[in-house]
Amino acid sequence: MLYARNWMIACFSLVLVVVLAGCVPAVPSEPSEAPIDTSQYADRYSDELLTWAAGIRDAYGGTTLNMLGFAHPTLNAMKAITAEWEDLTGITVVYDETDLAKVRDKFVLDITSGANSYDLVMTAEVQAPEYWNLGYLEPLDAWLNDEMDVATEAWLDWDDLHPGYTMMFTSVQDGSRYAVPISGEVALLFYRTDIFDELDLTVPATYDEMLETAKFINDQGIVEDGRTVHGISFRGRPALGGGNWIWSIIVFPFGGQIVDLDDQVTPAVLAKKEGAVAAIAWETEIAKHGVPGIASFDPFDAINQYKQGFAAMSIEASVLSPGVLNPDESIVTDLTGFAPLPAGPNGSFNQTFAHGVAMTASGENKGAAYAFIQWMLGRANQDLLLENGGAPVRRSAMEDPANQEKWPYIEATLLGLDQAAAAYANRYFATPQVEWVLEYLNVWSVNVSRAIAEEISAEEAVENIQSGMDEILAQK
Amino acid sequence: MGNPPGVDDIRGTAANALAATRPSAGRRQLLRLWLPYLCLVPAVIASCGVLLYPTLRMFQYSFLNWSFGKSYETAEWDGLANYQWLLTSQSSTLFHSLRLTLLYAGTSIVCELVLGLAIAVLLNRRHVFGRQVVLTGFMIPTLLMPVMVGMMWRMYMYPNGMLSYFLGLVGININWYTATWAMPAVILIEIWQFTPFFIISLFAGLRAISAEILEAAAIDGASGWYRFWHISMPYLRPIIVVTSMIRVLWILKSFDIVYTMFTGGPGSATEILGISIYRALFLSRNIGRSAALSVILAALTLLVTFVFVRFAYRSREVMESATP
Amino acid sequence: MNEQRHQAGNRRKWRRGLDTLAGSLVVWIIFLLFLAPYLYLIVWSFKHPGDIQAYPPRFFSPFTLLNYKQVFEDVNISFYLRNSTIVATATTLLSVLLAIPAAYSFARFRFWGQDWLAYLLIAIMVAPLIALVYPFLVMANQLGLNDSHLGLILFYLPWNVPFAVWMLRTFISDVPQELEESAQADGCTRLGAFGRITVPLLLPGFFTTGIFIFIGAWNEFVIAFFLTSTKARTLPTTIDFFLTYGSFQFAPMFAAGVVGTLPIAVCALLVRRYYLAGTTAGALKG
Repeated sequence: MLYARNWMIACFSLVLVVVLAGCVPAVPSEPSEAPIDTSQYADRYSDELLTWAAGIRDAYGGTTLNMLGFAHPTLNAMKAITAEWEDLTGITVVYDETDLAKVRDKFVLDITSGANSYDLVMTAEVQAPEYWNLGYLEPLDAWLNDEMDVATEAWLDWDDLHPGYTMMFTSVQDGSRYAVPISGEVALLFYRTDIFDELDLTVPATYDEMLETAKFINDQGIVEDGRTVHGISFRGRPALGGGNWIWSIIVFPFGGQIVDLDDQVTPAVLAKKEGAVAAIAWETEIAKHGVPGIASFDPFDAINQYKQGFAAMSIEASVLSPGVLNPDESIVTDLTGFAPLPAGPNGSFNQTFAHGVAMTASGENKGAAYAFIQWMLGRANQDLLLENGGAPVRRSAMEDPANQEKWPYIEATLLGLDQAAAAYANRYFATPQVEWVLEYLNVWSVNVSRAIAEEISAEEAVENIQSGMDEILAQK
Repeated sequence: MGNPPGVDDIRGTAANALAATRPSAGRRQLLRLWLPYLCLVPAVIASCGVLLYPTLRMFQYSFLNWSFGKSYETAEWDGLANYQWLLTSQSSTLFHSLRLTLLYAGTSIVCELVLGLAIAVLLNRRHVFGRQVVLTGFMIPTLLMPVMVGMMWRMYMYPNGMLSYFLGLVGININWYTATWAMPAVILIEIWQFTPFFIISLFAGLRAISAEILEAAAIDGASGWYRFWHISMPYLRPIIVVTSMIRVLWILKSFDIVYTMFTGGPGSATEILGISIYRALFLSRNIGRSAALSVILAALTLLVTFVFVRFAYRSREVMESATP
Repeated sequence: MNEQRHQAGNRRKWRRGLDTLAGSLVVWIIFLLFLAPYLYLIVWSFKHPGDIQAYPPRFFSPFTLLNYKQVFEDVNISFYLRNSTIVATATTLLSVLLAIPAAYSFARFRFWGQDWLAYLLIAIMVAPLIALVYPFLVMANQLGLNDSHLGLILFYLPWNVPFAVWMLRTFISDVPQELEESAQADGCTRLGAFGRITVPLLLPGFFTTGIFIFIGAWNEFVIAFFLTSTKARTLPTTIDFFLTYGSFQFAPMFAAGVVGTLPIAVCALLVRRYYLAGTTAGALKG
């Protein structure tokens, strides 16, 4: 009898769960079939655009676009105005979202297994070369050059996008463009203005000074509200966007090199060039004066330590600055200064990195997909993306004094972009655009991480990087 | 193992013979012989039907030289090259990973077992306040999704995390993100999540031992330790064996927690086999090598299960001889 | 003499009381240590994003439902909740149904190769999931089951059916064979005897097995992640939404974690008798 009663309760609860779940709407949004009243958008968009949108609606209305993205402030901003887009054009957009590292695993598996689920895909600069070399992406040139499309130039305005970012998605092999950047970054030095003032420190101008500064701050043993403030925090996890990142930037100022860009198809590996060891040794050394555990930090771990007041400095991506200025995530909003990277023995260099949206070669709704890119990443929506925590990619937005006033990191970012341009003029390029770029990254990230964790020495790390990359290259 | 066919193969033959409306003797004989196998068909189709093809494919891939992302047509037969590379190359992390996997699995399970046994014994004392509540509450960690558990602990183990704070209060300052502490950190999470699994099953086992036997032993003057070791333990052994086997099967293949916590880092301090397979497949883009690693892991798992199954059957005999 | 015995008895009572108290205290301390991380998750999911990471932890900060609002409105977690429920429920029902004949066979017959076949059922599961993802995806595409509930259910079966066979076998052998035999003697067929006599007695066994399968299917990540995109994504895959590039969204992640684990915890607590029974069922009878 007792069994039976419990059994009834269990059954009932299970049925209840199923019924409750069944009541939830299956698909978040449905496109509206009724002709829409565009007047509500009249103040935001020009007549030209509204006419363009009506044309798109006639041509592609009713289609559904599947987009694979990774969790990113810009994606959130895009989602926020997707209802508007669906209103204007009658094209539904369904987002499939994961994180930056897994998005590529998922996309490549999706294509190679023949599923071809997506029309649009978000890509980081290190992932794109693999995609386009394998023929997964649709070249955008034909679309971008389409003179018949009136809205194109005024709306998307490729030339307004910063060349430091667009070059990440432009193939060095054939010059084709494969993705439109939605966010771009350089490496910046974040520092605690209050601590620097108190200890009478200046922003380090060279890497040696930076090491000294980190050591000095760390040795002070500053304790704020029960937490110890360490010298620095940065990323060093053996994963994509982890240990490889800082090394691939600072190897050039230290006089190192990664690949020889004279041969663009199978560039020779130059990782053993003098300077690479010094760069890794510097990272290992400064990590000793930083928050313990740098060798297992992802970008968000590293910046989180800084945001929560555990580090007085950080070398991180400029795109993380909006988070540092967000009081929901950070306790150092008013106490942060942004500076370009210091100079090394070989000069002052930086690298650019970008995230973009690309069309898949296998997508069935390319027209609609391109229209979406044009509209979403167009000039009018740039401010909106900025407001939602994205980082600017347009020169017009970055050079706007109002934006510079509002977002103090933009000035440092522009200096960083100059540093990057100087690096590119010397053919110092951190992201070889070869199909096997991620294999390289794996070798770098694991070995740099091992060096920071003091499993191996800097010399061994460089030796491993060179031999690992050579081995990969030999197989191609 | 395996019994010769025909020996007392179906119980209840007498009952069958009694029934009047039965098929002819020959057909009945045939049915009797094949019915046990026929009954297995749905289960075998459901498991082997879906798994056999991919498993065989995995085996086949381990002999190919094939880049992840390229079409199957580009794959080349490479013989044993992948295995050879894994066993001999300097860049191969196979032995390192194997060592870490065994360390990870061994330490976790031994700790879980010892802790689980200790807590089960404590719970089995004559009077414990709120025993049912405690037992029910212990279920919760085992119900949580591993991905969530990994993320949760990742935050708790930050220098500003909850765990670090409470440990700091008692004067222990550990940074779990360093190479020394990363492995203990993931083992700790495993222990947290799965010790309750042992507690619950061992407690139930202890309850099943009849009080009379223990009391009789107590009257005979056996000490508490002696009673536990010589009377309770033989009863618990089959439970320990089977529960450990289930855990070993899970933990050898486990990937989620280590992946979310450390992705094999810092350096290669937590690069267990599951992570190596992931790395070889997605980051080194080498399908063949990752498949070869998977085959090695599968073989290891098979071996361990086999040992446990032999062990389990032996304990069953022990069990049967121990109970009247 | 009597006085002395009384005193000794009293002392013993005291000692026993103290013993109980100390034992219970130790058990409860360990218990709370084990439960703390989950309780922390629940309590902290009701805090403002700014308070969540505060150091030292803010135990008494304002209560808010903001994180839940975000999880339900922006992330639309109820959609994933629904998918998870459908997939987990169907997997549970199908696995148990498919396992019954095999479990019956293992429990009631003795046949050649029995032990080896039982071993084979476990052995088939040894291949690591991540290595099987690609063949799985190819299979799913060929069958047209990519990104569908049915596809997920199909790929969950091979892991759960052998488990169900293993568990149900012991439950079936718990039911005395004589009951079935007498029914057969009364003119029932073997199937009829099983259906009318054994199945009603097996209900607790079905439940115990079902809960374990339900939990497993609800929590599974790797297959769910690669095999679904927009239509059939399940709850565990939503954790990724909070690993925003450059910031770890702890606040909504905590809320999502509670939403994802609370239903299953409540379900399991309701049927805890069976859950507790299940952890030993496989073992006690060998």
